[in-house]
Amino acid sequence: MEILIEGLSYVYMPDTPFSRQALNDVSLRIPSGTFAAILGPTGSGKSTLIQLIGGLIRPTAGKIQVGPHAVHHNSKSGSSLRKHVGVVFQYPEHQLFAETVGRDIAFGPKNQGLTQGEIDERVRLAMQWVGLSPELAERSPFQLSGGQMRRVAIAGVLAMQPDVLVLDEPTAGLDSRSGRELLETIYQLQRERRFTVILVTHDMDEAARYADFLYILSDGRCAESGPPAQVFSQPEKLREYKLDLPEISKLVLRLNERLNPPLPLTIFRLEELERELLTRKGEFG
Amino acid sequence: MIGQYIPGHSPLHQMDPRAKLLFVFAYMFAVFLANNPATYGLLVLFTGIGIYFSRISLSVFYRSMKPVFILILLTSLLHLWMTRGGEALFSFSFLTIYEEGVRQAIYISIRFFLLMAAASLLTFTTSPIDLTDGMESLLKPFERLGVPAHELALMMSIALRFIPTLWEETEKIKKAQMARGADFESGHVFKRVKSYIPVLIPLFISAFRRAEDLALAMESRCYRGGKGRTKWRELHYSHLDVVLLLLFVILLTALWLLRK
Ligand SMILES: Nc1ncnc2c1ncn2[C@@H]1O[C@H](COP(=O)(O)OP(=O)(O)OP(=O)(O)O)[C@@H](O)[C@H]1O
Ligand SMILES: [Mg+2]
Repeated sequence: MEILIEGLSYVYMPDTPFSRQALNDVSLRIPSGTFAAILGPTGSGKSTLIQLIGGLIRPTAGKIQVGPHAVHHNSKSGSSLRKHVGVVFQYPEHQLFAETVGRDIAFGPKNQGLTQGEIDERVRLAMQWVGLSPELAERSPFQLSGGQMRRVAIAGVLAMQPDVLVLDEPTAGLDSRSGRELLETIYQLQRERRFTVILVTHDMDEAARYADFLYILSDGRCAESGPPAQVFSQPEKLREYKLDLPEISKLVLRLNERLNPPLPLTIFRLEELERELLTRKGEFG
Repeated sequence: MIGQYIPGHSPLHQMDPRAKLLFVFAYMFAVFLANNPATYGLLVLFTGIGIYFSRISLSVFYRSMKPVFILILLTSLLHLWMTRGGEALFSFSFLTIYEEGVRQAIYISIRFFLLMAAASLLTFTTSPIDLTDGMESLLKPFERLGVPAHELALMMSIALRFIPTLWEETEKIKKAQMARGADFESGHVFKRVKSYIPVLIPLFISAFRRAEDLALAMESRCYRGGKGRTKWRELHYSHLDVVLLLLFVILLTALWLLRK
């Protein structure tokens, strides 16, 4: 589903000495079926933005539209968005509660009012998607490793088969390999099923590798947006928002100091770089 | 929130927490000396001056006292209903309101307000750390009688430190379960209580994890109780505290002279 955000503002604890404007007049559009990444330094309002998209908090001003469902500052609740947007919070393994993995994943589908048969099928599928073997379904989620727990938590949201999947720093605290595997899984799933994914991340390489569109938040405003090739072609601007280039782009720039003609700056995957270099080797060598 | 600390530099903020604690304690008794309009008026004036010098905006003050106002309203209604004596002012079938009832309702409301205002002023202008330090220092002389002053203060400061953390955590878990379709608002009481299970279990698990982490962190920094422990932040009385003491003596004398 397409996501349209217009003039969105959010103030925490309004009318108190502690009030704090987390978002300030943000407007952006995320096309249906794309993989979007939200980047920005700490405190820039990323988590606030996704909670608004997920219908979990109500905006102070402005509008959020997900497909045909819109929420304004004076809407009664965000429940119309909640039905279509699945939000995976940071450290989602902290919200596991059921006796078994299967029952925890079934919590969402059950709340959707599905039949037991459908629920079982959803749980089975979700576990398969995130790469959890079926016999784990009967285990207690608290006996699993951190990475497995996170997969269970993500499966719990995937089992609801939302039209929009939002992930807040899903790889935080995982080792780099399980982090990459997790994102690869989600990426493949997104390509197959064509739902919309919004990934919040601090990792430029993750964003460059998977996202079709990037949105950069800075101080509660959407400072920059566009495809990775465009956003990462302006390193000076990125520094302004306290962000860095992806490691791979830095490598390409270093190689370009010695290569003629230079490599294109649109390479964001190691495999692509390898392929490019090999074809050149074929041409010249 | 009632009496959440609001950082500032007002005279009330700068007073020693021990002086403020003792004052509020004594003030609670002083309030019960009042028994006629003059004395109540004096106390209201005194509290008003206190609010003024705390530099806390009236709207913030009012908002934090709101739940208290509901309580005040309830108790004064009860008094209107129940207290008999004096002339009957108003009568309607089973309900008769007496002069004494009205007087009691007004006095009780004022008393309630005065007590809550003093307590709020204390917590508004004293950081939780200062508050526990002050309490520990005041309880110290009773240690010989077996009062575990240091442990009590430590328990209180840990509790105060973690209330906001656990509150935030609750909100976060609640939102996460709401994102999975949990509904905390509708249904009858039993269903609503049951709907909190997916929030409470993770909350307990995280509280235990935090407790373990904290114990480990304290131990690895060689914490071994209050004996022989010195303080980084020491409390000092200043001239402001003497002013407070003088004011209190004047207030007491005035109350004594004005009361019937
Ligand atoms: N519950 C809250 N109460 C008050 N202020 C908050 C709350 N949550 C966030 N804020 C404030 O709102 C601003 C934006 O916070 P947000 O969590 O959206 O940032 P973020 O971009 O997700 O940061 P990070 O990368 O650290 O997760 C911050 O300045 C933060 O202090
Ligand atoms: Mg965040």
